[in-house]
Amino acid sequence: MKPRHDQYVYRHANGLCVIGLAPSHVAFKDEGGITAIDFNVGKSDRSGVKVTGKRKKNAQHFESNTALCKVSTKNDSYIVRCCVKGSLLEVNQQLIKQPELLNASADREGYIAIIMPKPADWLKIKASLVSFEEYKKLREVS
Amino acid sequence: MEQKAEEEVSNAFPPSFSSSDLKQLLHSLPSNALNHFFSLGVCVRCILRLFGIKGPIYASIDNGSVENPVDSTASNETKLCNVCLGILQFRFYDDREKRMFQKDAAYDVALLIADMVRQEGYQFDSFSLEVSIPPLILQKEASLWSYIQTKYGSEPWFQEKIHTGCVSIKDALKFSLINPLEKLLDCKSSWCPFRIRLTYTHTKASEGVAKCSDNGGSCKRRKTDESDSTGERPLSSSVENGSFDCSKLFPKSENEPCHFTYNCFRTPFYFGGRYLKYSRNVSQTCWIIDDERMGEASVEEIIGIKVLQACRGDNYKFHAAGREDIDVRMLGPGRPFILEVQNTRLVPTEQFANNIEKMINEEENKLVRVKNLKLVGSDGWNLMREGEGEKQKQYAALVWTSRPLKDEDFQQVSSLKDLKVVQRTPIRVLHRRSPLEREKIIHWMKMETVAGSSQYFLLHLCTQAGTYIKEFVHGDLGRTHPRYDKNLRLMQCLMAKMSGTHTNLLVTALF
Repeated sequence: MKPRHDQYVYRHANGLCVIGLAPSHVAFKDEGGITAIDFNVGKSDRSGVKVTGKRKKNAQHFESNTALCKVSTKNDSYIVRCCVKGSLLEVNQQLIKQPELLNASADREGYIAIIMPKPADWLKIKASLVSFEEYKKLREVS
Repeated sequence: MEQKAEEEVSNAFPPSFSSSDLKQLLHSLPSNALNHFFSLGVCVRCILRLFGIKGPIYASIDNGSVENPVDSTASNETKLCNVCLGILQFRFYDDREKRMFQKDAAYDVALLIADMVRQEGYQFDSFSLEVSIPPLILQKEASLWSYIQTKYGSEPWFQEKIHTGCVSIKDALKFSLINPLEKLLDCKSSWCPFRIRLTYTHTKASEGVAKCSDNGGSCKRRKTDESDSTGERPLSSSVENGSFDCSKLFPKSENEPCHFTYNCFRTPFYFGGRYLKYSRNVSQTCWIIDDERMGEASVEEIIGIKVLQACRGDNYKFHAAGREDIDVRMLGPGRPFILEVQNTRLVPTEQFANNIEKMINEEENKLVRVKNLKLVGSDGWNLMREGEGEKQKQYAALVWTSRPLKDEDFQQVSSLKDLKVVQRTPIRVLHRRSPLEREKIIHWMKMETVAGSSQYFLLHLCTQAGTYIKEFVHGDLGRTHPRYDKNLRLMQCLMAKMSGTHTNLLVTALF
């Protein structure tokens, strides 16, 4: 991960992970904030896949460093990565029409995607993630 | 069909039969056929069956005193019958006692069965006999019957019998055993939940039994226009053309007695009622993950264990019309449920159901309450289905909101009627449910203030069945939203900004 490309991983008790941009991500520092989002990165358009059924058929399997989408500001664009190895269950389609959700509430309605890791894969990646408390200290956010 | 066979037991013959009566009966049958059957190694009860004779005569015959009426030689009863392989001669290998049995009269077999029933300790005022015959024997029956059809088809006595057909082995066995069992168990036989099951099996698997099923033995016929009012099964239309070599009819290799096992059981009883759940730490069904119980108890166990113990059943199944989360209370009229109890030793009554209801409601910890507990039949299931799908459900939710409430909020919320919302599968269940968008209707809402707070309020709402209430209130990261954008801003204001946990949203079901 590039420096200052801060992202969050919210893990529910059932194992599902919500991925999004942390408040200290460089994109937010650009004037005007984020203006667009594009899920068509890597080999496929992430917003096009239809996952169905209890077994989550058709879900794509990604590594933690796989590109999830690209967010653009007035002058620049940044790659957002999965952070967690697992199946991509859904991306937040609302962002395509309303990218301002990322600026207004990146931690809620501006979430980017939901990924389902296998229990073993979660244990492996957990160590390289930073807890909320540590994050606050590192970024000097209250 | 089984019901009819039992009814005919008392109609067909006078109850007591002597051996001379049997002789007389045999003499009245066509002697050429009779002699031929004897020479084929068919036992006396099978012969009576083939001639379509019914009734308690089967119970009265003593194997030791049967003679071949034509030439007065010893009967076939000492040899294993080629058709029923000893079933109707009361010769079998008893799987329970693990030894061979050879009884002379139906009464002796009935004794074995009655002893077993007494040991099992069931309460009953009637019994229903079920019999299972190996396909091999049904096949032999079919072969014999088609043979008889070809050989005697043209004879007048046979033409008369075509409509009545022969009596199946099952029915003949029932004719044999029901009277003695009624005497020994001191009650009548009838169609009832208490079942006595007799199972015969044979070690020689049979080939090509596609045509014969367990039902009604060999004497089957494709249904014609006339309704068959007798208790028998009509003829088979599968005529074997080809060899009528008698020695091929009954291969010696199959000539072994059957294995016999018998047991009794009760068909399930169903209790219906409604439950209320007062605790926010009790799940609906037993919830255990990795040997650890979630919550302190479950509704199904609180109700099921009491009922099971009271009727002395084997196990229970809990069926509820819908469900609520572990941390949601269930009040109001209560949620309908049906509790299925299997193999009860006692017979539950209405009074019994009332007593159990009292017992559950008088529990100290008052986690769950039961209303209107009673015995239900198949109509119970219809009530359940109704309780699930179309109904409207009413809830109350204690909600915290990040900005203080204004009077307009209360009015705007009350003005929304039949609000359409779209709910994507909530994240908290997305791991085990399909990712779908479900459109639901919020019929009405009403906000109520909470004393001493401008940011807490009580939200009363009435929604379509299947609506995720928690997600409707907090929005689930925007994945639940109103269908029409003009309502969006209002709903966004109302949706509580959670500080991380969900303790700020408490839901109660009130239907």
